[in-house]
Amino acid sequence: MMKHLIVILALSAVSCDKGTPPRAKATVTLTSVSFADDCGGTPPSDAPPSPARREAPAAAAKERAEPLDEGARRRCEQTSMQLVVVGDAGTELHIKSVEVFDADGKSLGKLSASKPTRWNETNAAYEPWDEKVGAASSAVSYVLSQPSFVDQWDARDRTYTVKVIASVAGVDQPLKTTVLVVGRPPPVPT
Amino acid sequence: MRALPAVALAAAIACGCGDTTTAPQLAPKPTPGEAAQWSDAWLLAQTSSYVSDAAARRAALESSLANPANMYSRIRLASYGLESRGWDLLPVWNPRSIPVTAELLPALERGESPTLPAGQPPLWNGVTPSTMPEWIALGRRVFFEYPMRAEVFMEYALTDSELAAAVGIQRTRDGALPGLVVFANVDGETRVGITCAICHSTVKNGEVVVGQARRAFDYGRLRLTFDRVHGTVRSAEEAKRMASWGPGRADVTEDDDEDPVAIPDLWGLRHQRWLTQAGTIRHDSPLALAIRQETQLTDSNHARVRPPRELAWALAMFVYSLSPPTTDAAPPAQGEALFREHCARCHANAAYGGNTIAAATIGTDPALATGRGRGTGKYRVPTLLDVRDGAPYLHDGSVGSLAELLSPTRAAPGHRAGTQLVQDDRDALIAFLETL
Repeated sequence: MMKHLIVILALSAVSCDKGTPPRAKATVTLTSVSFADDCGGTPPSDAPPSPARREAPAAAAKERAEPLDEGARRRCEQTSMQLVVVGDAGTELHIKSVEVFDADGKSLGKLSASKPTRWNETNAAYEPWDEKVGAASSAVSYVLSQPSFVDQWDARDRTYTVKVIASVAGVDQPLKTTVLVVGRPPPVPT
Repeated sequence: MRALPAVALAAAIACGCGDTTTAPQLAPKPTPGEAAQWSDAWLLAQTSSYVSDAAARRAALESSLANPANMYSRIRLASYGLESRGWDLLPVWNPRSIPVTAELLPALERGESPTLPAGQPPLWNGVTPSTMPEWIALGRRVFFEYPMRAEVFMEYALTDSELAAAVGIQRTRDGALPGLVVFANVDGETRVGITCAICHSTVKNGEVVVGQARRAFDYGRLRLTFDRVHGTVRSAEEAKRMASWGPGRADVTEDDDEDPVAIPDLWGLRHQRWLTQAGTIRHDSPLALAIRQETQLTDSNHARVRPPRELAWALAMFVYSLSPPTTDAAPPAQGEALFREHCARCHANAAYGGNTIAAATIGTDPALATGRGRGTGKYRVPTLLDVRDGAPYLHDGSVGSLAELLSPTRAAPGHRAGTQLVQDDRDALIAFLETL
């Protein structure tokens, strides 16, 4: 079952002007976060769609268990976050932590960020990225692990906050968060 | 299209049909030399405001949201038109996408991975249209070819021709499947996707009727069949709801309420001042529709990319250009008189649609109007253009025919206008409605 909450967040890297702060070498802005499933990332799949089967269905899988076949795997929608990075070419960026908070500020746990990709305008696709800032602004995307509360019926229509700590050239940048609005994708998004 | 005389429009306003206190403010009359509102020239004059002016887009969004507190509005207010953050920063996606045609279909039916021709160019060549016909032509391509998302359920259904036919995946005479495309998604996979046309076009006598709701499209059955075959688990409640939709209906809201709607026709939108069945969007300028479509395409692709604004604008111009099938039948005088007396108070504009009306007043199922997803407390008065082909009726498709709609013994609640007429008058009214 695809459970998918839309979380919109904007974060900006800010420099702390206390003492002799390091010069920010990159600005990171969080564009969107999409809570859905954990498909183990979204590598390109060469597997074809499942042909129709007329035999009796297999025993029901456990909730959130691995899909039984390729068809079900292709139904999986990966939790992800999208950012924009602008800075000195060659600067290394790394996502140190992604933490989710409820409306009361209580931490709901951390998500793992992996499989960084960067938008290639020529190919119109996100492609594997070495986390080094390019010469121009880069739109990047990370796979996130699925939040534990996504499956909960009463976890929908809530406001969550996602705080991201990005390490830029080895220096943690404090980030400013804004309140998010969360909805669920309808069965037929229109 | 037959325009109602001014007296009918005046009567509608005087009787307070709908909620005139919240109707979009009438724009000041154009000064000499300015284009008439909603004319092609007037629409085109606003192109740059939408395509190039972030402040104008943000203002238009805020103005267009009838209820800022519902989830549809909140998602957009938090993300759209913010320039330095949110969805404005997403990469622009100009996809490589081709319609599913008779040539492509055999491989898809065998369950093979779809492929795009080598060197397939993106949908848009980057040239901004300069005339309305050019915008409409581009918009037509967006309507039929811009993927809303990859659709594994369609990929599955294409391998089972009986299922495909049963759930409304229709073919034209030349074997094309309007509403389905093969495209390269944002992760580099080639997939089958769906477009606007999957719901808002239908095939009759082998030909596409663009803008007519595909009332044979049974998405709930398709999803549940996929789940059953693949053994995926869905909550009993959600499965029950999907099973209740039936052909031409689906739940499109962001909340967990049970409020499926019937797929609407796209006729006469230029005259409708409210969009969606619950009047979620105040349609006081073309920016409202373009923003709705831009954010729809962004949201459906999980906010990882956004469409070029030129394509969202083109789609709006295309939708405005749609005309329903016509009939040569002359409107019967008796029925027309009954319409003016009993229906025109609400169905008052040039498309025989109108403003919004409180859900408690119209009395139909209130779930959508009061829901957290898109609710406004009201329902929009829909167009009656091509109503003869528009069954089932009411926002939720709960009424199967015009005769049932006007029947005094109808079980489905709400919309009692006309049910007090004697049989002969009801028949005459229906005869008139069938000429619209």
